[in-house]
Amino acid sequence: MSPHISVWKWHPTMLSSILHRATGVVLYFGLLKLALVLAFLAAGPEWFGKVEPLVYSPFGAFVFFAMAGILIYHFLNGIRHLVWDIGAGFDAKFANTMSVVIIIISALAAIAVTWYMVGDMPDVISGAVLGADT
Amino acid sequence: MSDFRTDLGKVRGSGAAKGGVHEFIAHRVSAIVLALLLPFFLYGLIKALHGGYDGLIAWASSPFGAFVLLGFITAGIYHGRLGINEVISDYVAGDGMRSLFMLLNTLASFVFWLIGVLAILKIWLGT
Repeated sequence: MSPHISVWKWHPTMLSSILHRATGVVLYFGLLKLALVLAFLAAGPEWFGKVEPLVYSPFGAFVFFAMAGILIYHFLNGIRHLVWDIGAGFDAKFANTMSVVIIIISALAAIAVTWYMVGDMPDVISGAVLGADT
Repeated sequence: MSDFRTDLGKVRGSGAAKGGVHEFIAHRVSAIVLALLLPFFLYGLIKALHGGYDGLIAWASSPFGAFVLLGFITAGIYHGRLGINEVISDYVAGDGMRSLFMLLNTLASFVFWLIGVLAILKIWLGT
């Protein structure tokens, strides 16, 4: 039962709301992809080899970065929704500030997590497949 | 909070959506489960990805790793199905189309949940 977008002036909490829904939809497809990757993993090394380049490549690192940011954003903003559900945090100024803070923290956390993920794995950046040395 | 509902509306008690209390609560309960699992999922995933194929297998075949994966995929797809249904009920006009999309969403959720869970169980119990 969403209000029509065109009757609202843009403000941070509105952006948060739209992002929450958009990230939720993306995460759903991410989970479906996770299920498929797990199926390839369960099917054995040859089958996993077919999807390995999707994970261990510059493209894979970028997807990891994007999905990490989207996941962390939805996680943080979701916690805020739970706080709203108990009736707290509705002050407009505070809510607008938190919207911006959550977006910034998500972006920074995504960079940090991706850094930790590929930082000691230069092979990933260069596109070399990790499984090669095992 | 002031109440703008009419007396008749209150007696009927159905609201504009006619229902959905169960979905509302289930959405939030699954959100809490996911929020609790997320740190373990992210940490486990990154650690496992560092080890390539062997690392991922080791993660999914450890009892705790399998528990986190099973919980995350189950609560996640359940939570996601409810969310997508909410999006469908917002944007798809017409009861027939809306029901069809929700049915397809439910079927897809079940199929992918089953794929993910069977894969984890195969790795966990098969190694």
